[in-house]
Amino acid sequence: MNLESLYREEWRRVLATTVRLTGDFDLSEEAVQDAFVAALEQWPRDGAPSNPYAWLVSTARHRVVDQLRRRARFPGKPVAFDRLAILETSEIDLSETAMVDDQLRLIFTCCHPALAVEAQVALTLRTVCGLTTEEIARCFLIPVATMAQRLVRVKRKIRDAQLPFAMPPRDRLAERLDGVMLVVYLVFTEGYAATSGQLWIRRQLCEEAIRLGRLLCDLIPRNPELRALLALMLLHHSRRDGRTGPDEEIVTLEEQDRSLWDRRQIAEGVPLLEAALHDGAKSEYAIQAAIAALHARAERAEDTDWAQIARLYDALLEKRPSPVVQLNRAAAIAMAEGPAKGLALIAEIEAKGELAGYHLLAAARADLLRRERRWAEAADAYMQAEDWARVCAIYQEGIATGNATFEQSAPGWEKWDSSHLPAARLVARSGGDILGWAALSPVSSRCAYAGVAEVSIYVAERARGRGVGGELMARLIEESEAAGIWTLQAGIFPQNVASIALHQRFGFRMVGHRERLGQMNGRWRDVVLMERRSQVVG
Amino acid sequence: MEYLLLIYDVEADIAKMRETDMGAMYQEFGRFTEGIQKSGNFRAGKQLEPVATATTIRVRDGKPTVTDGPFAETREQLGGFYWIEAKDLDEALAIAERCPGARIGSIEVRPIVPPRT
Repeated sequence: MNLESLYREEWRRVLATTVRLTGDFDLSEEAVQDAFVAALEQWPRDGAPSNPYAWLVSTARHRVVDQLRRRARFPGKPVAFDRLAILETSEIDLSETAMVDDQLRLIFTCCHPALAVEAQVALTLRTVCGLTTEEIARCFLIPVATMAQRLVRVKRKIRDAQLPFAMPPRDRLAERLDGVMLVVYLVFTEGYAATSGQLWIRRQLCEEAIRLGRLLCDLIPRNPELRALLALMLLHHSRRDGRTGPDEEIVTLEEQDRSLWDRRQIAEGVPLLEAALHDGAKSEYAIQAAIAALHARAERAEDTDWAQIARLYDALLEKRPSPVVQLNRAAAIAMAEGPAKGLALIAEIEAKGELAGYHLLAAARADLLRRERRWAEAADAYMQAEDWARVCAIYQEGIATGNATFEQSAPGWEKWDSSHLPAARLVARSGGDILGWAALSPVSSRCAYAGVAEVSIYVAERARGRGVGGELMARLIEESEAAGIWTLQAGIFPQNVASIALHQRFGFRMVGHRERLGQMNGRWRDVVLMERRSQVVG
Repeated sequence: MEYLLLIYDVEADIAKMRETDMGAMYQEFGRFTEGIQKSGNFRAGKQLEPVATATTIRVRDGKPTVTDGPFAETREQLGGFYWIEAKDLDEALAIAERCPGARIGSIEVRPIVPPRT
């Protein structure tokens, strides 16, 4: 018998029933903990009982009775004698329906609106999911003592204000279920959107939220909104391996390697959502899940049905008129109808001033300007002297691959400056950081070759595979043509297939394969010569 | 289980109310009180005079200090209370929700410490 998995499965059910019997959260939690310890001791010795749940509930009940009797011996400690009597004598209903009701009552109590939302989240993770206080504290990056105190306070309120361990009345059920769904979704987004904390901890939170979603779908069958929420979480979580790069940096949806998406979760999430929509799901979760499903369905980023996504953002905006949703809608419309339309919408949002200083607004605008090729307006498109340190570091990263250049170390600024053309010195920026750079160097001092230049493009290691190289190349070609360059050439090691593919994509043709052209670390190396003849210059 | 419903409102807004509205409000409070008397939840309930009439006293080292005004200056002021009996917090909240004070201002629901046996 694996006690770890037993604990995962039975903790919630045993605790829920014990709370029903005792009406006391704290006492029950301790008693259930003790019951699991007893199981750990006795089962390997005496063999596991046929019904572990019943055994654990019964053991926990005895612990509570012992506790209450002990308390009764201390004067001044109030003891609910009536409850003690019931506990000692009554038959315990351990039927399937009772068990389902117990769990629902437990969940609704944890998510009671009289409790602060962060307390609801912590309490749900502790009692419903069975996470330890230490685990929860780690998830939220707060000290264990602080989390322990938060849990003590919330359990004290439940006891002293007499929060009922009960299902909400029928006319309040929908509204209370909204509260429960919010808690589940908060657990999920805490794991999904957090930018700090260890990856595996964040994933654990996402998986706990999905477990909760599944549990609720089991306990309250045929509820379309619950199924939509579960679908939303599955569809978002399916992208987990694609959405961060090797250094845990966020990779945009467009640049994600879709082969890394979890097809099994998509295959579960999409039909789940379809059924939910068919049954009338119309919450924000349902709309967001529909958007996620459209992304999941697109085999490549360019297959995305942006027009449909833009319509879904319209619907979302009606439910939640927030500027962030407006921004997402603008981005979707830009993809569907062109960057100019999107830029106009972003300008409108900006004019309202609600998103002033919001970093994603600037990023969205820069992205659209790039798509529209209005480079000069994409702030700081050109390399400045103060960029050299970062540019040099990226150069050095390229050298370290052994497949970028014959050079063994990056030159100083003066040497670099004198060997590159002043035109078309470009950088790709993101926030305050530089992701890559591009520049041209003359191939000959002879006048006839004045319009021929050698291309250098370097992308920071952590930004590779995100389209930065393509963006730099597109700009470099435009700038070079503006500067009167008619032929761009590039010498590339044949091993550098990514670079060869990039050049091919932008109209460079293979001119020749030059054998044993130069020595590098005592080894002769071949070089592929590629060139691109401008159609507009000369 | 006993709870105290503390009714807070903005006194200045109440003072600005028209006489007919004021009359309607008192009638509503009357109906509400009657309702919870009938259902057996009512223990007591009173309206308080405005905070301008409040006096605060504290005794330190055996010496009383008396000051004019309420204990704390707040945007909303305590204007009245109900002392009720309810099965649990949900029932207390359902009662507070029906109280006209919840629509005019806000009601703080506080459990009363049970007597020690």
